Order: sequence, then C-alpha cells, then structure tokens
Amino acid sequence: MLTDDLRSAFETATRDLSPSPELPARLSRRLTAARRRRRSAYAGIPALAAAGSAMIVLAPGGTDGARPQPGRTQQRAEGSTALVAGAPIRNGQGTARGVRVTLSGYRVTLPAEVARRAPAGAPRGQYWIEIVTTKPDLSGATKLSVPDGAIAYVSRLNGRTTVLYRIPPAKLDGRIVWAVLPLRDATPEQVAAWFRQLLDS
Amino acid sequence: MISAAQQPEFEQFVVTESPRLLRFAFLLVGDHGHAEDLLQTALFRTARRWRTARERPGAYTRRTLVNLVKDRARTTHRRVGEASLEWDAPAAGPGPIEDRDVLLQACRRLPARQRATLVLRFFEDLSVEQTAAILRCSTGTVKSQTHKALAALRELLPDDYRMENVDVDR
Repeated sequence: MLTDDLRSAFETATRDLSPSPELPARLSRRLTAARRRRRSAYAGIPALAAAGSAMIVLAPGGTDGARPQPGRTQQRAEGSTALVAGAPIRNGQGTARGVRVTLSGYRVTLPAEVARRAPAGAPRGQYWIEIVTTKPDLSGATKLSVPDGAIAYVSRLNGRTTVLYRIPPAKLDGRIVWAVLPLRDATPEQVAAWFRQLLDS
Repeated sequence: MISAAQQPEFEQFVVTESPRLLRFAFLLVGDHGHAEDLLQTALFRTARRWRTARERPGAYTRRTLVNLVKDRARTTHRRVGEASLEWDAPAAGPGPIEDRDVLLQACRRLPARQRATLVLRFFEDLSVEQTAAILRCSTGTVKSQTHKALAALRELLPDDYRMENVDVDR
C-alpha cells in the first residue's frame, strides 16, 4: 500500500539523521542573548562574539527589510552590527550551494534559505552569500566587482537592495572565517574591502 | 520567555526530543541543513513560550515547525531565481532505493500543508484528531488533505509504481 511505502520511505530517509551536538548550547546562547536583549538592545553582539561558535559571520547592519520584531528593531535601526553565524556546507554533490547559515545567538538578517540560494544559471559548486540591505549607496549598481574572484551582484527586490556575493569554494571550504561587515552607511568600495578581508582572513 | 529555573526542563526536552523533531523537520523541507535551522528556530520559539508550551512541548514545536515551513513556502516565490536543491541522498535500507527516492521526491512536490499532513499521519503516526490539533484545523480537513495528498502522490508517481487505495479515516 502507498501508506506503507510512505512509512517505510519516511523512516528510512530519516533514520540516520541526528541533530548537531551543539544544538542545546546554541539554544542556550540564543536564550541568554534574548534575555540580555530585553535589558539592553545592544548586548547581544559582544556576547555572541565571545561565544566563538560561529564559523562564518556576516553582518549586514542596518535594516534588512525583515519584519521588525521586539528586541531586534532597535538594534538594526541604530545600525549596530548584526551577526549571523554559519558554516560552509559540503560541496561534494555538484549542486549550486550556498553557505549554510547555522544560526548562533539570534536570527538577524540572513535566513538559511537565502544564504543557500544561487541565482538561476549560476555555475555549480559555488558558494553564495546574499546580503540584503536598504542602503541606498548600493542601489544604483548592477554589478560590483570584488577582489579574489568574488563577484557581488546587486539587484532591487521589493524595494530592497540585494547583494549576492559569489565566493570561490576554495576560499571557504573547510576553513573557519570570522568577519564582521557593517554595511550600513558603507560605500561599495568599503564593502569590497571588507569582503576581501573576509576572504583573506 | 522561559525563566532560568525552567531552562533545565526545556534542555531535557531538547535532548530527548530533538532527534525525532529533526527527522520531522527534514521530511517537511527535504534538506538536512534547512531542517536543522528550522528546528533551532522552532525550539527557540518554544522556549520563549515555555509556559504555554510545556504542557505538550512536542506538539507545540511540531506546530511551530509546520508554520515555519509554510512561511518559508509563502516567501520563496517573492525571491529571485533559485537553483533547485536536491533531496539529500537517501540512506541505505530495505526496499529499492529508487522507489523510496521517487516517493520522497514526489512528496517534496506536494503543497506544504499536504506534506505536513502526510508526515504527521504516516511518520509520526498521529491520529486524525492529533493531526488536526497540531495543524489547527478540523478533523474533516485532515481527512480531505490526506486524501488529496495521496491522490496527488499517485498522480506524481510513475505508472509502474503500484498503488492501492488507503483508508484515510483510520
């Protein structure tokens, strides 16, 4: 029967799955950060940075078009640097993959599906990071060249400026990278410089 | 927000239930990475509403996961073109790998709500009433969604895949 086949397929497909051993610790950090944010809208970032669990950190500051939520709005509105932590995902299946964003602390700007998205027709095996910002300085550009083979595509989407960075896989694969990109009030040249710093670090 | 005193209770829930919840999330989104991200978010929301959720934290988290998946499906079309993400490679197990893979791929193409209904009914083995409680809909809706999902699956599956009718009222 189809339902029996479904049961078997569901069971088999998920049998070997297990959550990251770091999940409880991550949740604990998010809860701690959330409690702290209730006391101070600016307290989360140092705490997260000190936690040291992230493998990649991108930080679009300022507003990102996401729905304002209690405890986060002020932080973004003031342009303080926001952190999103993630790890480079495996690249062995030949698909166009992005950078897995494993959230640590709190979700700010890069949902995982955004970070994993590659533009249609993108070459396979590339890492992509999307940074969304309302920053007007980037809105006029259509293509922003970034050093070290990374290219940022800039487009307008729902009134927001979307910047898609293509990162050569070799630059990220298996490495731990820390970077903080304060995009708010940044010029494209500054973004390029920060991005170079990310790749070279 | 969960209090510090209640946090050990929540952490125990995470340790014991997260493997099963991850499997549930995986079946909803078809991708291990997304499933982990959604699970973390769902558990975080559960913690923030622990006073409400602690009665039945598993059901609360599953409902949150379903809602997150629906949210994600709703916003996907507003984004620029996306390269298709493949279903993670099936694990080895009994039965032809091709059949199981075809079935999972077909499930992936179902609307989020129908997929959630199938997973709750046939992976979590929940009753119609329990499924309705999680999806916050009537039992009749669960039955009809199950029926539609199975019918859609039959349409999506190749002709040589043998199928039979199923009693959805079970």
